[in-house]
Amino acid sequence: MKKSFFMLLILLLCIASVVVGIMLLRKESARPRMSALDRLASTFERRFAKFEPRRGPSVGLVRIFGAITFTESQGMFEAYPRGALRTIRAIRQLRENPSVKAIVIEINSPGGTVGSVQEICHEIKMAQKAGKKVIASVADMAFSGGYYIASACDKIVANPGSLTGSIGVIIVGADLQKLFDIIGIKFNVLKSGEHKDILAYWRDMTDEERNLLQTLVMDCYQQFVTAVSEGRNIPIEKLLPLADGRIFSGTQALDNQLIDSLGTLDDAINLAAELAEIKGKPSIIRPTIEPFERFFKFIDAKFGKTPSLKDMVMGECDSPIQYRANIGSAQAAFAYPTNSQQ
Amino acid sequence: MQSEFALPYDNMSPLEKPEGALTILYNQLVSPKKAVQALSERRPYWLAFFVIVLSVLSRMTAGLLSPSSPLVFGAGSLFALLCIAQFFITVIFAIAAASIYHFAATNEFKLGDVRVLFLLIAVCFLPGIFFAPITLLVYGLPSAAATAVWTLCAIGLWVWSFVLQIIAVKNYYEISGGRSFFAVILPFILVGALGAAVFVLMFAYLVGTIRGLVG
Repeated sequence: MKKSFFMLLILLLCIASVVVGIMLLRKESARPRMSALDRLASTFERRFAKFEPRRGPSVGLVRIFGAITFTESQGMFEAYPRGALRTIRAIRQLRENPSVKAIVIEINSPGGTVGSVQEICHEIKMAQKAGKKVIASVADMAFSGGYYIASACDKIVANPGSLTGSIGVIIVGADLQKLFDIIGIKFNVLKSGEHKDILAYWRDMTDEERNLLQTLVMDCYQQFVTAVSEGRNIPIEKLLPLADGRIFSGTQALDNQLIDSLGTLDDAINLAAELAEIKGKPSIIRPTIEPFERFFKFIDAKFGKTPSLKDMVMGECDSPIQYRANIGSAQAAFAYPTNSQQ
Repeated sequence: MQSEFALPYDNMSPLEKPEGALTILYNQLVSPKKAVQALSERRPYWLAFFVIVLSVLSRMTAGLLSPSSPLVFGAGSLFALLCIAQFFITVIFAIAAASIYHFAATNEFKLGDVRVLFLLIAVCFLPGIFFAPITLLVYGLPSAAATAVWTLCAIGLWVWSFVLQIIAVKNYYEISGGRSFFAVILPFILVGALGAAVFVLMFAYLVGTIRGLVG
């Protein structure tokens, strides 16, 4: 009896505490509180405010690094996540930000697929229509599709040793028939039309297919040359001799009017500020990172994907027709000698 | 004259009568061995529900009023929702823990009933009802002192609950204290191993990414 009474008291005490606690909770919820996390965030905000003010006329910075394709890089911790849609979203975000008066696009790319490059160019033109000045800054290289994007900008700034150009179109197909014969793999292909398996890697290309693809390449090439000619105000007849796929150093590109000035990324930012009539040192706004999207894409890429046979044999499913340079040899040719090589 | 609806123990002397729920709860706090015996004989499952509900309410109230409260995230307005979620989490934890303890503790002498073990584990959450009174006691104290006292008390209550679980498994399965301890920490070992595996995978991926960036 004693035990029961004692336990009853304890339970009543606890129930009363819960009731009082809930009443206090309602009172506390109405009162604004600053948690340790908030205090930390506000400290960081104050610390970084001098580097990245949130208000006032600013210059937006977008980075296009690596091959330009719609296939996005899947790393969760990548410093420069890639993917045309990411670039488009970043430019759009800056276009819709009223405090951004100019956008600098830092390019370090060997080029990419035709569709993705043209979509990025379209977004740049939308930003220009919205009254933003768009400046391209070439880091190591802006080849082919990279240069296509740069040519859509109002100005192009490159380092003297930056590599650019490689205006042209390429389709690469492999003929692995002999390899498959050796290892004993035979493909059974049922197709609705003669050219349905054009660019197939299990057989050689026919002359007719070669002509079809060459026509396709020349059509895309024409689009490329026209875009550069319009973007850079260079007559086509003057541009064509330069548009045979050759690459240029920054200095050579300046001589051939393919870029506007020599300079670093900082120079490009200053030029953007000058064109946008921003007084003083411009503040930089980078598009916000989307950690949750990045996390879920990472999870999806790691656990949700079953590669097809084509993926395993031919790699990712990007368009075969590309504004892209074969940079392996270019990098070797233009690499500065290191001490050990001297 | 004996009633038609008389319970079997109505004619027993007060000392022979089965213990009431309040006495069982009292014993659970001060003499858990007796409580284990009474619970395993009478199996009052409603008591498990009662203890879980009260401890969840107490823990959630304390958690939201504690010195490191997440109230700033608007948790106050979600109190009911958080309590319901916490209730289901606690029940699922008790079921999972009962299954794992049962797996680790069953022996050739005593097979045991996993449902009784669930009841015993649920009643082991009883010290959790003290979270709310403790939080109210430290409510007026200066911030640093309140944090220190509250944290110490919270650790004490968790350890108390943990020890009760060890005693419950030990007495119900009639196994040694060491084996009972092993059975109770087994879920934590499993979760720790899983966490370590995930950490190693993430670390390997991070190193690979950094090497990719550098190279």
